[in-house]
Order: sequence, then structure tokens, then C-alpha cells
Amino acid sequence: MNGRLLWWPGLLWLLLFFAIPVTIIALISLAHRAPDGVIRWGFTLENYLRLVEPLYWAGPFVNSLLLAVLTTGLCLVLGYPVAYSLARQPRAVKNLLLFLVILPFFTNFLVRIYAWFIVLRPEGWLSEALRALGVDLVFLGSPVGVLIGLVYGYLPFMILPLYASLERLDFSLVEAAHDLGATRWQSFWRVIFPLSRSGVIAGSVLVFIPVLGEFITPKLLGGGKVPMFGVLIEEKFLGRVPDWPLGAAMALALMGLVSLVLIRSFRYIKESRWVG
Amino acid sequence: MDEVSIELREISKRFGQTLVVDRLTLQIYKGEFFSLLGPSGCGKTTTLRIIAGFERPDSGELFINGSRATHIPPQERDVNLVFQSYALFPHLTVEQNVAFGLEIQKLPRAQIRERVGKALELVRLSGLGARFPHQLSGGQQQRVALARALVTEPSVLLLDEPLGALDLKLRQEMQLELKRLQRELKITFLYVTHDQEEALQMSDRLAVMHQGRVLQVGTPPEIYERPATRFVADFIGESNLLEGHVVRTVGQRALVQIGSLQANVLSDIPLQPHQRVTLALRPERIHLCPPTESNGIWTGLVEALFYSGKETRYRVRVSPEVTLTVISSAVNGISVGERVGLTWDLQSLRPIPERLP
Ligand SMILES: Nc1ncnc2c1ncn2[C@@H]1O[C@H](COP(=O)(O)OP(=O)(O)O)[C@@H](O)[C@H]1O
Ligand SMILES: [Mg+2]
Repeated sequence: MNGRLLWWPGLLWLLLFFAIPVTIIALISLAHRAPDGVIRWGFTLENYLRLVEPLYWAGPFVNSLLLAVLTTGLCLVLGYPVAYSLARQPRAVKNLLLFLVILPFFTNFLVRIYAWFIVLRPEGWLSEALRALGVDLVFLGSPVGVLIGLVYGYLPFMILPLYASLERLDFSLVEAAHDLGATRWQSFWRVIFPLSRSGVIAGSVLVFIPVLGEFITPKLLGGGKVPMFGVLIEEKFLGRVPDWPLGAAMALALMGLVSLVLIRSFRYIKESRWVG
Repeated sequence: MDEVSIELREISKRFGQTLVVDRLTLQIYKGEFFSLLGPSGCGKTTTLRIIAGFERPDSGELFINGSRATHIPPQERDVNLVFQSYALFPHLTVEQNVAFGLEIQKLPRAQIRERVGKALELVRLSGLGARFPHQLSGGQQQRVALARALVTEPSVLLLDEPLGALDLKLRQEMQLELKRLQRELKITFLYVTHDQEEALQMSDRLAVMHQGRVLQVGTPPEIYERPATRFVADFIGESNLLEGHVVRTVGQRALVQIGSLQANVLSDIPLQPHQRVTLALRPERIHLCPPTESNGIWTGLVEALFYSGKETRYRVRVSPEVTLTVISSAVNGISVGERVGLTWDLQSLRPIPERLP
């Protein structure tokens, strides 16, 4: 079969779902803002200048960045042991547990976040239980609630790539480390973790990038009190005072940043080719 | 050669229903090159993993350098294992691989560097320290695995079929290399192999394993010349196995009836008249002579002949129920269908002490 032919589905996919939408967004970001907040086609860089000038988005952006870093870190810490023990199970058990990890995807994301809403509300069982212990924590409308929702929502995206790289790990390497005197801790940091680097990076990218642009979770669990960059963009399109061109410029700026992160990450993964 | 380095006492290990190691008892002395020899699946790797600490025996005790080690974790045992698959760390260079054990011991940098250099020199890999394992040939990876295990100076080195993945030439070269290393370092080597020739050539002593049990322990000549069971006689080299019964005994000599034939046997085990007995006779210990010669013990008909250059292999029918395999390196012009005489030294025909069922 002609190798070139195999490129076409991929190219078509990229064209339809990436190149065309991004072009549209780019055109919008270069257009003028009409009085109704939508657009008047044209060519101007004023939206980008408006982006740099007042810096009113800086706060939400820092929020997004912090939450993305925290979410990624928590997902890594929580997901690693899960992925590791998954990878060490016998084949049949592995497949069952893997299915359980993916199971939440069978339910709509919104529904699942609403479920958290019920758990996290002040009169929910979690708050009550904590109050009984003398801890008065407000989840809804606070960064903690948003963080819980984000970690919950993105954990599978961390577990799956971690699992994929740990599953390939030759366990005799861990035994070799023990044989040479390494404790569990040492063999983890010197052998297991470095050899799962591609999984760590892939999982982190898969969590970090979407969380950076998240708007559903902060809207629902943050109740508008946890401003995030993604929420800001969403409001520019669907909010009470729409401003499509500015929203488009913000979206493209975020995409530029994300691309930088991605390029760096891929370079790291490429360096760790020996894993495969 | 008296101090015991490794001792297994009645060690047993099951995986599910299968008894993989069956009441294994062994003593391996300090500084010895000891081999565990047996067919694939007989439990050699499991035995080695029990000694290294990766498997818990179900029963029995293990002693390393005189102290009980049955429940000590692998990282605290003074033994290093050279894995069958080498198990080199793919993300570390050759130097870093070799330095691993020393870094765990938190030795000073300078000392680590010096010892790694020496270890690489010892396995003749100086100059390749900066490479990654995947940039090395199989033989070189093998040497790195050796250097990594040797550099921490364990009192025992466990080697699991270390040459199994190498081609014949390289294997022979590495056999010599391993012997040299063992002589120079005076470390106890416990060497696992399924290659009987390798075990005979390299070992000071060896144990033959079969289905989780040790059948015989001894020096290579002891094992080869006096196999204790039919399995050993057959697995180590080749043997003609002859079933018969004792006609009469005179001191250490016995006359054994094998079908319609008779043979004299010199026995170091007590034999009784009428006792059934299995005799082993090595094909290369049988000499062919003209059938008329008076010193021929038996005569037979050459049924088949295989010439392979350095030796010729004959199938000789000596009676309706018995054929013998004979290996001869002499060029003697014998051809299929000829009658020949067969002779051997008295001590080459050995009764096997194993009890018959
Ligand atoms: N972890 C295990 N689980 C179940 N069976 C095993 C395991 N390890 C080895 N075995 C079985 O034990 C037997 C002996 O294996 P092994 O010690 O590797 O033999 P050898 O090294 O002599 O080839 C084999 O039948 C093998 O299938
Ligand atoms: Mg094995």
C-alpha cells in the first residue's frame, strides 16, 4: 500500500478539526468588535493590544496556572500508585481494573461535576462529617472545591499514560536494583520513576493543558468566585457583555503558551526513547 | 575449600499446585565454581531467586556465609545476581550501571570512579563507559552485567544462564573469561546452565537437577564417570543404558545377564545375585575391532553410520533386543552391514545405583 495514502485521513482530520477552527478564531481575533459585542470583519491588531494593556486577566490567569500546577501535581501523586499497582496485576485483573478507571467516561462530565456539587455543598455529607470533626471548610465557591473537581475529572488522563509506561517496565530491573542493595525508595527514584518518565510527561501534559483552559468545573464548583482564564474567555463569547475579538485573542494567546509547553514536553519524551 | 558459602537445607517451593523446588539440600564452598545443571523448567532459576531473595521458600532454610538468610530481604544479602536477561538499566550509561551498587552504598565519588574503572577494565570494556546499553552488542551487555554485579565485591555471584543468549564462538570465549574472573577474584560462583558441556568444562563441582530435585552432586569426572541415576547418565553426555540382572558376584566383580548376552562388571555398589540392575556404557568408551579378534567382548552388526568429520557414530546391533551407540574418532573403513567386535575397559561399564521401580 502506498504510504502517502495513509496520511490523508490524518491530514483531513487536522484540517477539519484544527486548522479550520483555528483559522476562524484567528480571523475573529483580527476583526473589530461590533457594538453588540460580536464582530465586524476587518484587520486590526487592537485586540492583542487590548490584551496586553490593562492586564485585567492576569489574576484569573495566575489562578488557572496555579490550579493547573496543583491539579497536575495531585493527579501525579494520586495516580502514580494506582497506575503502578494496576500494571503489576495479572492480566485478567488488569483489564478489569483498567475498565473501572475508564468507566466514569461513560457518564456525562457535567453530570459527574453536579454529583460533586451534591457531595461538596455545605449541607452535604462531606462538610457535615468534617464539621463533626471540628473542621469547617467551605468547598463550593472556593478554590479547594474547584481543585477537588479538577483532580477528580482529570485523574484518568494521568493514570492511563502512566499505566502504559509502567506496564512496559521490565520488573527484573527493579529486582536488579534491590539485588544491588537499593531500598524500595531508592529503587523507585533511581529506576522506576525515570523509566516511567514518558508516562509522567504525557500524563502531566494531558492534565495541565486542558485544566489551564478549564471553565466548566470552576463555573459549577467555583460558583463564579474562582476566576479562571478559561472562564474569562467563555464569558467573552457567551457572557452578558460579549467581546468575541478579545475572547479570540485570549484563546490564541493561551494556545501559543500551551504549544510552547507541548514542544518542550515532546523534546523530553523524545530524549527518553530508550524506554520503549 | 571447607568453609561453606551457601547452604540450602530441605528448601521447597511451590507455584500453585506445582512443586518447583523439592527438598533441595546443597552446600557450596567458598571460592568454588559450582554449577546447577538441569533441563529447562527443572527449577534452576527459582533456586537462584530463592538464594538472591526474590522468592520465599515454602519450607526449608537458607544460610549465606554461615548465617540464616531465609527471611532477609534481597538488598541485605551479600550475593549478587547476574540476570538471564542482563537487566541492565536502559536509562543509565555503562558507567552509571556499574556504579549503581556503589552509589547505593554512598561511597565517595572518587572511590566509585576508581572502582568502576577497575571493574570495566576487568571485563575488558574500558572506553565504552559512556555508552548506553542499547548501543552495545549482546556480549558487551553481558560484560556490563558482570561488572555491575562484581563491582560491589559480593561474597557470592549468582549467574543465571549468563551465556545462553550468545552465539557459540562468543559463548566459548566468555566461558574462558568467566573462569579467569573467578580465579582472579576468588569469589564463589553459583552458575546455572542447561548446557552439560559448559557445566563440565567450567565447574569445580556441579549438581544435576531434575524436576526440582538434586539427583547428584560431584566433580565433573565423578558425575560423568559415575552417574548416580539413569537421568544423569542420559543427560550428561550420552549413555547406552542396558537392563539386566546379576548372575553371580565375586568380590567387587559381578556377571550380569543382559538378554542373551553376558558382561563382567566392576561395581563399587553392593550387588546381589538375581538383582535387577541398569548398566551405563559411554558410546566413546566402546572400541570397534575385527569380529574375529579374541579380545572382543561382544560382536554385532553395523546397522547405521553417521560421519561428522571429527567422529563417526555407529548403531551396532549386538543382540535381537540390544543395539549400542558407538562413537569413534578413528578412520577405520567400517561400513553398514559389516560385522564388528566391541571392547571396552572393565570400569567403563557402570551399574547405576538408583533403585529400580
Ligand atoms: N512465578 C511463577 N509462577 C508460576 N510458575 C512459575 C513461576 N516461576 C517459575 N514457574 C514454573 O516453575 C518451573 C521451574 O521454573 P524455573 O525455575 O524458571 O526453571 P529453569 O530455570 O530450570 O528453567 C517451570 O515449570 C515454570 O513454569
Ligand atoms: Mg531459567
